[in-house]
Amino acid sequence: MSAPVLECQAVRKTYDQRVVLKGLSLTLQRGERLALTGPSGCGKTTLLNCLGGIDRPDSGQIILLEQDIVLLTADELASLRRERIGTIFQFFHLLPTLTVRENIEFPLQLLGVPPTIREERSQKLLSRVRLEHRAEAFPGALSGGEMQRAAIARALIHRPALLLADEPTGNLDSQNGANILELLREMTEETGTSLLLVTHSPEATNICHRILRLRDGEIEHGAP
Amino acid sequence: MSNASSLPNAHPKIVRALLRQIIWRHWKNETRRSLLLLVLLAIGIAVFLSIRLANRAAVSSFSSFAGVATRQTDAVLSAPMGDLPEAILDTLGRDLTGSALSILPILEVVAAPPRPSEETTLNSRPPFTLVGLDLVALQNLAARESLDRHWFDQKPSAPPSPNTPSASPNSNDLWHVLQSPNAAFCSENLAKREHLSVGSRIPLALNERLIELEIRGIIPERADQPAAPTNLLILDLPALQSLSGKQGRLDRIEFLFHDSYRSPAERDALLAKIRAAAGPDTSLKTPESRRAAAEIMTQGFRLNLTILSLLALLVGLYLVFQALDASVVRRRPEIAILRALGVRPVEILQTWLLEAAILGLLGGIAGVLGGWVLAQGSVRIVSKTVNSLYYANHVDAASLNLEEASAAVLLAIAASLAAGWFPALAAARTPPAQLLSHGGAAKEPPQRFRTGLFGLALLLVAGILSQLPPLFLSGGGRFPLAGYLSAFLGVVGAGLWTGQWLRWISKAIAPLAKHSAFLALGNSHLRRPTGRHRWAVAGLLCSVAMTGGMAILVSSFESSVQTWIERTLQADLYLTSDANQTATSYNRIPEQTWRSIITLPEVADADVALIVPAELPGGTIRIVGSHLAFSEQRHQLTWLSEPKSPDVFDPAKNEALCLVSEAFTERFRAKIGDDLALPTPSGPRMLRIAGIYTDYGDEKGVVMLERKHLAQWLNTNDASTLSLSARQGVDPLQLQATLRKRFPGIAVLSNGHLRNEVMRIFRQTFAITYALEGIGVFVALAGLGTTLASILLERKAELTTLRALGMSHRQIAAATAWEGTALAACGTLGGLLASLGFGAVLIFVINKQSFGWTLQPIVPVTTLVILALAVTSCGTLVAWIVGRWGAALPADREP
Amino acid sequence: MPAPLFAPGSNPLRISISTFARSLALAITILLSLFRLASSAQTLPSPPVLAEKTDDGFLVPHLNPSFSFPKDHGSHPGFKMEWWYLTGHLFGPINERFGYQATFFRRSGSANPAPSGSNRFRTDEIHLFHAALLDTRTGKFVHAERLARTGWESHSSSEQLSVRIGDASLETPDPSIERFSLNVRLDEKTQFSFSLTPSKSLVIFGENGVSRKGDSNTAASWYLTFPRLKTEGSLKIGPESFQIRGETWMDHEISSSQLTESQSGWDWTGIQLNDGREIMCYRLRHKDGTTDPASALTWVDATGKKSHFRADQFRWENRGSWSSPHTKANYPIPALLICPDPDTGETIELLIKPLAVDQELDGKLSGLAYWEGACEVLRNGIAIGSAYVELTGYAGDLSKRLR
Repeated sequence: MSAPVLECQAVRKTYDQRVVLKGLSLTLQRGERLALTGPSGCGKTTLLNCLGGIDRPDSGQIILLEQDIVLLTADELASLRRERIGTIFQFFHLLPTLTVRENIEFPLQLLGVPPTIREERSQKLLSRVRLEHRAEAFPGALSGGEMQRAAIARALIHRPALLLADEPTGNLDSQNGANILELLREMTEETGTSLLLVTHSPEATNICHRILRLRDGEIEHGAP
Repeated sequence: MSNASSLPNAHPKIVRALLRQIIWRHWKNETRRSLLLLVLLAIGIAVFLSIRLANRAAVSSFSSFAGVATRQTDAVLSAPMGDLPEAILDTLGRDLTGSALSILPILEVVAAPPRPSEETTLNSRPPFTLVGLDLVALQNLAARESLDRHWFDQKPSAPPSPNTPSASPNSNDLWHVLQSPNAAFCSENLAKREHLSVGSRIPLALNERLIELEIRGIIPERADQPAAPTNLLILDLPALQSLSGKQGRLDRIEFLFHDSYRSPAERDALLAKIRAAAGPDTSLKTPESRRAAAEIMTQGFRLNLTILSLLALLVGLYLVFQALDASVVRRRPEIAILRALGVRPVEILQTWLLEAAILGLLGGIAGVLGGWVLAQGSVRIVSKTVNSLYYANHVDAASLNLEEASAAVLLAIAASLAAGWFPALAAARTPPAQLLSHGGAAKEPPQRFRTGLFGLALLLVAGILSQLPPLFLSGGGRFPLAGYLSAFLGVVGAGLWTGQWLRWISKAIAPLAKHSAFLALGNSHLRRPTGRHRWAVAGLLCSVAMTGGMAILVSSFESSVQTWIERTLQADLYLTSDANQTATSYNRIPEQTWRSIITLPEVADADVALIVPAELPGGTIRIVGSHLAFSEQRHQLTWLSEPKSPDVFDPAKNEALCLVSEAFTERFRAKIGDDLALPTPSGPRMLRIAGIYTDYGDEKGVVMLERKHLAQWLNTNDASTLSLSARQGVDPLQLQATLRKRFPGIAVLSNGHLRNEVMRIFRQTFAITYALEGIGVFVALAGLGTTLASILLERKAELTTLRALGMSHRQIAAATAWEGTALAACGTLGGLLASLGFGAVLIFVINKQSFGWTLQPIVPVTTLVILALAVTSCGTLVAWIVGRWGAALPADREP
Repeated sequence: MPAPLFAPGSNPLRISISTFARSLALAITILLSLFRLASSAQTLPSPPVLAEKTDDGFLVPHLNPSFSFPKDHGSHPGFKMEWWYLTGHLFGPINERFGYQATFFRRSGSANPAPSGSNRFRTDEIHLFHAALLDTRTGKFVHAERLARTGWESHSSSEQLSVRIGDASLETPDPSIERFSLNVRLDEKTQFSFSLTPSKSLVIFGENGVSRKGDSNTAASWYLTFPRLKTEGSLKIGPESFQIRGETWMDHEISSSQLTESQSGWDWTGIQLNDGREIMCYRLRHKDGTTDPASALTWVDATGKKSHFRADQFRWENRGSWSSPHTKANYPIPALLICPDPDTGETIELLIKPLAVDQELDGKLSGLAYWEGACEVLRNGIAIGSAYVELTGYAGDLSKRLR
């Protein structure tokens, strides 16, 4: 069996004397879809930020693809994110001044992939998420569901090993939300990407292999 | 979202609470930023106020000395050209017998401290004003006018200081004073400054000699009278006549009316009587009208300075606007929450406007203090310029005037409100938190084409305005109001229109952007430039345009002056009295002396010139009498309108002909063939204008005629300047040394030195503008930085995304740097083009209308290119720094 | 002449002039008084022979001068100082009574002035003018002073009596006729214009035509007086104008030396009696209050014959005192003059009573305040004549003023 994509050991993080993560540990296997649930303020986003290398824990280990990212420099972390991680957010966070196509292509641009290949791939993904007709539009003109579909395309275009999703359906109605979840499941299956999904919604947990419950910075072990 | 203006009024309690709990706390927490805002506004006000104070001080120094001896006199009689003959006193005395007034004949002469070294720099030594009064008659005045009798008291005298030669026992005895040809009285200030006491000697350069005056007494300061001007020396009238070679002459006669003439009708009747007694070749003025004349003389100059100072204020305003705008952006989430809690837009508006007003008040007060401090320095600069261009003055300090100070504070408040208006509106428009979109920047109405069209329209209006004539001020001054408006609107219009260019730039770069992430990102923002982008470009464009335009003006000026100098200054040596340090020194070299000089064997030929001021109905001008054929033979005159017949160069034929300078024609709206009347002491003389030449040395206007005739009309054969050419084989510098040794009171300047001096004086007059240019560029770059910072702040959410996507700090900084570079390049390019237009307006409209000089336009390409590169690279640097700062902003956290 | 050096707090221009003018006025009046006494040449020890010139080069009046008029009525530039001094009693059409005084001083600064220099602003000679007018109806006393250098503002002719200082002038309209015209403007509202004709011939005081004043060989003056001149002319005070007539006393004195005396002051009077005689009396006062023996009194009879009396032969007593609100000085007026009458030989008492108490000249220019006023002369309560009285040295110590 291959090494886990992600392994946390005793991750601890404090903000303003409030302990947000209290020595948390978890493991994520390749291709696995893991849901993280919990009430607000339990530290889900903080954990996600630490795992993605955007924030640093005060103590503990985070081993991503066999590298302890806590030891990496900011530049190395950025590199890591560029190459191996994709992120989707509750509020979509598309770059407003780029068209949908450009947004989707952007990670490849960061990696220096030549334009022709970029176009090819973005075109494929555009049709996969059924946004070809919106390719040249700006995010401001899109609906919530469309924006999140574009975000998914963007998050997967560079074939990351890990996809971090922070409440992807939080800002969508139930129909759109279901579509997004389905899309996520399908596409991560297709590409073999591991998914770490932070969510409130029970529907989201359905697409995952495992559910971990967070409470006050600690994991309450839940369903396998 | 409801429209702020249609709602009922704001609740004052809410506004007050907002001010106290939100605004004030922000100010406390962000002390540095708040202080910076204050300082920005204060600097703008300070520069503005200091220039205005300096203007006032420089003009007020031109006042009659009379306040020293007695109260301000009621009327002054002088000759429009030349001086008054003593004989006029006989007529006045006879015709005014029985009138209750005192008649004070006065002689006033300007002398300079002797040159410290052999090299003479012109206009470098503050002059002394020597005033000759009838010291005997003065006593009647003192007895009549003074109410206190403290001078009756005989106090023991101060012992003579060890440094001064012991005064003779009768040094204050009147006879001793009357019969000492060089006894003088000085002010307390001068005594303190130069450590003088009774018996001290002061060496001075006067006319062609060095003289020495002996201090016989120090005029004390009296609480109820203005202090004597520092550089004033009072002598007995006949003694000064003798010293200055003006025996039998007076400069003016002042009249002091006794109390009985209080009603305006009585005063006017008496003035009419004096006029009738004095005759038609004199001019009678009241001190108010003299002062007014001085103000008029310098009006053009001072207005121009005020315009520059307004510019400083505008610049300060621009920065304040940026800062206030940025602060609204920073606090937007908070404002959104307030709105969500139910605060009405009009309350937000009022609060933010009040904040701006308070800022204006505090900044204004700080600016007033700063302005006073700055004024001490600017006074010196303005005074020096006025000195060299207009009249002898010497101002030590500018005093704070309550009127000006309050005006400045009010201006600060108004300016701050103007700057804070749009940010306050934007704040008021913030939607409640729930509606605040997290997807990117606050939505802006698309204004693409409208702004561009508006900008073009402004450019058109500016073009039309530039064709309009100037405002003609009373007294012959001209103010190019339309020119300034044209320049202002042109630059603003260019700024507005150039925003379009950002889109073109981004389109042009698009192919390149495909290959680079940060270029693509940076470029993407330029595709749809926001109002802020356009502001930043406009700001940069304005400052580059103005700096560039000024550089064009200055280089054209310098080049024109250089050419002019090369033509005009062809002699080897120039001689003038060493005492001629200011524009109104008219010291002369007596006939005997100059004849002995020009007949020296080393001298090949010489031009002797006599220069006198003259008062024409439209203003004061200079009359130059020289040998016109001489100038013509040497092609020394650069013609604007060449004379059609050579008669004007023939002394036998040119008694009724003259040449005039370009400034003269502008000022008096004259042309070839016009007649003008010179008010000589021997009656008016008619002269016809035969030719017009360029003269950058004077903006009041010069009338040039044959010296022979002028000397006759003025009844003097003295000379103001001599231009000598050395014989073949004679070293001019040797001759210079010889002449200097022989005549220590005469300044002998070599051609090269004089050329340098003239250029130095020209540059001096641009001293302030250079400083302002530098400030302008700096400010624009600062503006660019703050704009970018605001832009990035608004895109904070985007930054999180970028980081999540794996962009490194450097890459984010690079993207911002590209965005900034594009802004800077756009602004610079637009600015360069606009500077050509601005420079054209400066040269052909503002300068020509204000001063009447035709300049050869020269574009200093190197300077402009350097400017462009400098501004753009600084812009890139600033943007890079802001980008790095932005990249390091803390991540968004969940609430 | 001592002069104060620059004193902080005072304007040197004014100090120098005021000091000078002050000393000038003082010296002049001292000279005046001592020469008026003139007669007591016998009481003075015999003086040394007169020098030709003073140390500073001015001429000294020599013995037995041969005067020729009208020229010698004019100025004598080689001499250091000179004055024309007029006092008079005037009456309007309905006997409105006035008293006036006008004095023109000339002072030379240098016996050999530098040749260059402006003629309109001479540096070697100045003139000082004093004038006063008393309106006895109201007691109003108007006085004026003016200082001017010789030139366009003041001038005195050496060909005839013609002296002008500012608006004031004393002229000889027709040099072939001995008649003078006096024009004075005191202020905007007060001026007069008189024609003066001598009704008694010129008196030359002193011995051999020279009036000696002291031990020195230069202390001398020529002293010419018209004790009575018929006066006619016009007078304007405020809105009123009068044609007046009356009598004037005119002194003209020429000298080149100054005194520095340590006296405190003097009292002088010039009396015109109704019987056609005149008395001139001079009392020098010492600081301790005693009278200097050089004081004297002279009668001039109707024919012009003089009778001299020494200090021990007459008495000048105070009969009252007036305190000046302007200068706080106390002037001893009225005065009582007790002297012998040369015609009858008996001693008479003449009460000299001022027509108004405030006739003080506060001397802003010269710094010398003194009392000079029109008086009437009473004997046994009956008015027998008019007089002018001069009281000096009561407003502060004269000698202090000098120092």
